Amino acid sequence: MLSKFVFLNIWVLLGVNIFLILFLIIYKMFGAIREKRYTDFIQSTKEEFEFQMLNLNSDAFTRKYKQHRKRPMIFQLMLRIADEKGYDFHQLFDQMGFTDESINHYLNSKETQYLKELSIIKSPKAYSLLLHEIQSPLSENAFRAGYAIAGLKLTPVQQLEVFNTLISSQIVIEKVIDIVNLISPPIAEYLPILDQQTTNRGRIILLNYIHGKISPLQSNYRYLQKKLAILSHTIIQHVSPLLYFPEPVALPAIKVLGCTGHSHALLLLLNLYKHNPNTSIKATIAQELYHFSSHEVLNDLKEMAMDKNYWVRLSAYESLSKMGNEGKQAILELSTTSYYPSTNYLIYEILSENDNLQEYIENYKKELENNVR
Amino acid sequence: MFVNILLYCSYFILFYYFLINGTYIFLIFISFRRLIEYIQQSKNNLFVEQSTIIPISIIIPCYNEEKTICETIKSLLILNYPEYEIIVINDGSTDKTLPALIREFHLKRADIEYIEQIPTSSVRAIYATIQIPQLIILDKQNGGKADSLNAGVNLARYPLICSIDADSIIEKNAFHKLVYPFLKDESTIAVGGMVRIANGCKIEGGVLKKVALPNNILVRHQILEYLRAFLTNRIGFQKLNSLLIISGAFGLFKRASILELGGYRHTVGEDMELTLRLHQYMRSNHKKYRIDFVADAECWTQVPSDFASLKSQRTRWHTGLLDSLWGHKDMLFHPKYGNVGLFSLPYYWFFELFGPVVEFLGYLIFLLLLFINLVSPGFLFIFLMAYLYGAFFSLMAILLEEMSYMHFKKISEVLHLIVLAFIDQLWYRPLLVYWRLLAMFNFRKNKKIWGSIKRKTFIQEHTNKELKTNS
Repeated sequence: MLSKFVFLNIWVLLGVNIFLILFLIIYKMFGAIREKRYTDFIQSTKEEFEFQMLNLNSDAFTRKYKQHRKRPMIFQLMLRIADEKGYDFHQLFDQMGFTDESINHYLNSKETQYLKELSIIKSPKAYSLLLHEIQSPLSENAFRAGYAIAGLKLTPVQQLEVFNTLISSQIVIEKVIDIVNLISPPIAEYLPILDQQTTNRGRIILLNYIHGKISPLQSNYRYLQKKLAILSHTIIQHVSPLLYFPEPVALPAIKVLGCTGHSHALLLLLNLYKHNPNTSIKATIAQELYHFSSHEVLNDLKEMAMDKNYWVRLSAYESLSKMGNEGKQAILELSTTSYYPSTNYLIYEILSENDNLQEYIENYKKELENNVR
Repeated sequence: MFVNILLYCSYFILFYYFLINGTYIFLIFISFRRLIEYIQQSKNNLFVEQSTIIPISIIIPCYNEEKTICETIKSLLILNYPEYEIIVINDGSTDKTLPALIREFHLKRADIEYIEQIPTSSVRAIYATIQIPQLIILDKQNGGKADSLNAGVNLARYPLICSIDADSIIEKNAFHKLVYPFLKDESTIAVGGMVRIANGCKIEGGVLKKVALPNNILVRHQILEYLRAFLTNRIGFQKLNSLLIISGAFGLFKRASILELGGYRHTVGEDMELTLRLHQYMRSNHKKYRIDFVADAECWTQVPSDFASLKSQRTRWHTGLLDSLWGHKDMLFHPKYGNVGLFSLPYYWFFELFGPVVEFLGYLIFLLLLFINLVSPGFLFIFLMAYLYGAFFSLMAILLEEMSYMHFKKISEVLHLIVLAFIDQLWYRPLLVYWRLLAMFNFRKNKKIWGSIKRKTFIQEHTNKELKTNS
């Protein structure tokens, strides 16, 4: 009995092993040929197909391809072109029936590849399904639905609906911030929502989003500067209470206030610096001070540059190095008083990076001489 | 009587073989399905991967690694990842590791604050440079690998900790892939990556340029062994959320979880011990968690190319295995620990730890029966069956590799691997069995080893191969 079983095993294994060897060799040999054929096919038909997608009206395109015998191949090609070019062909997909097919496939299988298809199709038809799926217990499906919905043209009401759903979903914070960035709702309308947040998660998401939106406003263009100035009051009003929340909320709040460059925000930040022992918070404040005018922050930064924590010092020096000549002068001045060896090295590195170390030294000498006189 | 005992023993071994092979087939079946999901996933990931990240602190513990450490750091500095820091822990190296680092990266002493949240041996100095602000070197007194990793955890600023070996090269997008499970599921606490063998590959400036089979037969066998271990074993266990090893060569952990557990313990297999402790802690406290494995996040590492180094490495691994399993023996068959207690741990106890004992017993009984002239053709056929099973598992691993990542481009390389699948069990596996048995006997002595392999620089490794090929 046993020997029969062993013999059977041996014959089966011999057969399977020989099959595997042959399969491996054939798979390897034909793999390369198959790949070449596929790329040749795509290359030869893609251009012509793309031309038709762009130039035929949707009815003509549908008439030509809806009953085509290579329908699945056409869908793949359309997806590929839409994905590569980033165009919105949702009308074509809708009329060809591909949107409904993808929705139905997803409902039947819950496989994420159909969510990816929907994110490329960008059809408003998928809105309610995607909104529902954001709250899916399957985490991957949830955030893919989030990305897919972010690609749709959403009305302000829909944007808010999506935003609230995202906050109550189980998608990780980093991904929600990214999705909200893609949706890009107007911040002026979302600042009051900050007060309504009952969870730190909601606060962190909104603060990071606001920071991402207002940091490009810090520029030399007067239009953007004006826009920021208008927004600053509202931002300070809504964000300042969050400075005293736990660190994950306080850090983005500091960054947002820093970005405003407003003197009232500066007072709030300096007050927090004095009363909060947390080094991450102190370092972040030091990092943000370069946004303010130099005469307001130079002395504070000099003080921070002598802090006993390395990261606070480093952040203060980085801030100073971004403040033009006045900042560099301050760094040079600090080099004579600093008693931290690593700080002296930092000073040297920061100043020598600018290639005009000599000029700073000369200016500093002159200033010293004037003071002596 | 004696003959009867021998026969009963051989029946036991036969039963054991069927059990182990059944488990392997089960794992291959799961891995096959999971690998197809991976391939699908990596196709779909592209649009999501670019934007979101979680910052990572990469910890490289090193002890006498002057030959490879600079190359490893260079490979990390060109990673396509937006926010990370590299913390190199020089664990009191006796060679020129520290001077080599200082010279290569123009490091200066920095008075960076070191908060000892986990106790470690005393820190001598911290070095940094403003030109590469994400690089920090911590020089400390020798305290072992676990101690070095703990020092790294203390110094780390970011929420995720990645431990890698000093002789490893990380693929450019590997961290995007490795972070993915953390972004996908907040309950993820650890993720392991795929460790591949760099010997024979062309590496320039810390970048992997070409994958090739090395000339060294010992390394070739290890390539096959790694394929078997990672593509069938780890993927299978990951699917059951009962992965017991997040390789110390390339693994990502939540810093908060490590701190919660009090850091790495001073054992030989600190990576397995930590993973086991994570399982124990999370399940005991009824916390939702996931320990994942990402097969397409790749790290290329040097493996021993001479017998002495390989013996030392395998002795260390087996000692670590025994140490970790013994330390968590209360989890075995405990229903509270779910798949870990009921499937993974029994697998590791009976097939990985005691596998060499049973295998050795098999060889011994065969020789004894041969000696007393009792070997029937049936016995030889049982041996043949075991041999064919071994070849089948190796061939399946090659097939999985070819259907997923296809690193070996030439058909001749695949043919080489196929041949290795058949000669592997003739000498390489018995050799490993012997070393692992020795490790069990010398358990107490081996527990105090840091473990070192004779390193070659990556350039030297590839040049040697090209020279041999040309000649």
